[in-house]
Amino acid sequence: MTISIKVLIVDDEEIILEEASEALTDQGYECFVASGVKAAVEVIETTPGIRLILTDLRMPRESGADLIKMVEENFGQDIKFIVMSGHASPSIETDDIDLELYPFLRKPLDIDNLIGMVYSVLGNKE
Amino acid sequence: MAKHTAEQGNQNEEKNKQVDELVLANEEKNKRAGELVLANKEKEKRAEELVLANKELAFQNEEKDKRADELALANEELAFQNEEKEKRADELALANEELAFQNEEKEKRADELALANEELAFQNEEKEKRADELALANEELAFQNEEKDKRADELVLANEELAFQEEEKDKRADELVLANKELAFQKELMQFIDTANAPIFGIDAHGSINEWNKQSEQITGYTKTEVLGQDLVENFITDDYKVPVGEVLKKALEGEETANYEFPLYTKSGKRVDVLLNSTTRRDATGKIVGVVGVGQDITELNKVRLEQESIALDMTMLVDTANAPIFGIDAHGSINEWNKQSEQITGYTKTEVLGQDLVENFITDDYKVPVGEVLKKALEGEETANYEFPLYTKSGKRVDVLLNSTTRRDATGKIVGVVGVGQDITELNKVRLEQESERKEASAQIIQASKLATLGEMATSVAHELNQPLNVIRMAAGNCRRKISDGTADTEYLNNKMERIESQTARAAAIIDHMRMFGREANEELAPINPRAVVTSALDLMGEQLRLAGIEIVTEFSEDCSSILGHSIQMEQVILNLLTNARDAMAKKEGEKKITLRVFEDNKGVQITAEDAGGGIPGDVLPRIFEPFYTTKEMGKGTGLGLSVSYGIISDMKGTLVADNIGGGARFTITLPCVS
Repeated sequence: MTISIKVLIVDDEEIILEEASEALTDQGYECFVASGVKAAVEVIETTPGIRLILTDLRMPRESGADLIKMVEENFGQDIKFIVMSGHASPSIETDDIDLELYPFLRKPLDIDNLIGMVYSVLGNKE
Repeated sequence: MAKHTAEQGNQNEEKNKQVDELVLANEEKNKRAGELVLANKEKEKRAEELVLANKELAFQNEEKDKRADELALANEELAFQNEEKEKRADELALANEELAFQNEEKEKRADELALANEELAFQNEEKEKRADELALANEELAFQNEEKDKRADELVLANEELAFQEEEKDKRADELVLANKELAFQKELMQFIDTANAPIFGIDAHGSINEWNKQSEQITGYTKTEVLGQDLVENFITDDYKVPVGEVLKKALEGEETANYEFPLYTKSGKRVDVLLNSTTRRDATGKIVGVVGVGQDITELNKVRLEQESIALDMTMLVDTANAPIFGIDAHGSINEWNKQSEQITGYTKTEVLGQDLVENFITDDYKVPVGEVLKKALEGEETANYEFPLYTKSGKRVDVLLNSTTRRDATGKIVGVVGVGQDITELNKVRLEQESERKEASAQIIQASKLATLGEMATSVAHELNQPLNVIRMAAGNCRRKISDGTADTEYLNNKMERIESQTARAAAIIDHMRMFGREANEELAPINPRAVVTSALDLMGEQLRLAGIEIVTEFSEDCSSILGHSIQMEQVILNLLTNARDAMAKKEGEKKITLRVFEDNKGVQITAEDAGGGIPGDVLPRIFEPFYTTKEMGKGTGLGLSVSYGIISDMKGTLVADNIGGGARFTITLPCVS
């Protein structure tokens, strides 16, 4: 049996969550969405087996960088990240995280790029 | 061959026998095996019964042990009980001792009680003795009180007698006082006349002097002794006045009194003195005319002063007439009674033309007749007005702006007799004032425009961010659409939804651009009622995305009902944008939660719009200067320093206030504006 890979998308804009999860679900991934860092952490705690988190960097309240730091400290290094931003390249938000280490997608998101990057970060579909 | 067969046969029989014996042996063996099995089975049964019996025995032993334990416990319990019983017995023995002791004590108490009762009986006897003595004492006291009352009555009578004596004494004293007063009065009168500060003289029925007081001596230089008995008119009045003065005195001798008759007198030394004479008929006790009393008044000085006054008055009149301001006067009926030269000059009307005319009726324009009339009427009632402005039209038709001060005119007694108006020609002044005002407005509009353009520059970045959001959606929606179409999995409904989404996002982008364009235009709108909540929302539309990207959370708290405010919506938006920009900049370098709270509500002061940030607050030395033009805390090249001063100006023009204070961990800017119904 084929088990779908679980992906979590984090962005404070609803429409982006919809379109991105539509694109990835069509490709066979199982998509979860969260509109902020707090909601994202809840999903991670209650849903085992999430392999990839795709997160926006600039959000009100806590930022994508905060989420990465929290996940790596508490849930181990098994989860991969892709960061998104409307800026040309991410700047270092906090002292403890070098965001240039993570795969980066520029907004406005191009669907083909999105799918391509998710493929390459996760290896294969299965 | 047969032998062979018979031998074989015997052998076979032997074999058969052996076989049978074997079979029998086997059968025996089998029987023995079967019996062995049975025996084993019996043994097993016995073994099992033995096990059971052992178990039963073990159980019995356990029970026995338990019984033994219980017995041991019971024995312990019994031993304990016995101990307790002995303790109780000891305690009981102690208790009995105690009880015996108590009984001894009780008997002692009983003895003491008997003694005490004897003592009490004795006390009671004594008490009865005292009671008898008290009764006697009370009788004595009653008798004493009767005596006291008798004495009191006698005293009252004595006091009445005394009071009566006092009254009589007072009556005698009063009579004496009256008599003395009468005497004193007589003396005073004489003294009064003698020392009066006016010359008082008397003549008898023949015209000879019979009274001549000190002041008469002083003024004329003639002593009493010198004049007594002399004919007054003949000897002391100048020739030209002999007849008239003689007339006055003759009239008085006939009972006709004269008041304030003025004539000159020449003193002994030849000095002239002006005298004001009052002549009174002198009668005796029966009413018969016996002479004349003259009371004079030296009005020489008075006349001098009067002349001086007249000269001063003339000077004053000249002063008013030639003053460099128009001065006019009206009487109690509103008719012009004063009109100085400047009034003539300014109005073109001469004094002769205006005197006696009603000022308001004839010289004030119709639209100002009532208010000017009011001002003059108030002055006629004692209420003065300063700096009342109104237009005047000259004889030639030219308009002159006049600033009027109206003063109540009173006579010497303080009675209101009219109004004096002092004017000021402010036509030129007004012209200059208007020019300056229009210059100021122009400069103000230019500064607002400059500030707006500066804001606009900043806004360009903001628009780029704002437009990013709809573009993002369009791109993703279109991408998903395209993929589904090439997969062949796109149905009509799906396509419709996606197209709608794309369309609405393009509309949003267009709206943002329109908004920016409108913002850039110079505002020459009329003052109109605007909805403060809409203005704040509109400003957020222009900056929302940018603030989101900066990680700033926006919280809005709008009250349900809120009045409108009067102003220009674009300018108002500019103010809100300015506040949002400042808040964003204040929090740019801050760690921790970034939040801007915008509130719109109404209270008794008016409509309130507040913006609070978490930027740490405004330092104490900066706060008082924060609305100054060109004052900025940002580095060179960043920020013009115009924003807050222009915002302050815009709100002031809208008749509101803009204040800054620190609250919690940040700054709060409060706009207060008057409500418009």
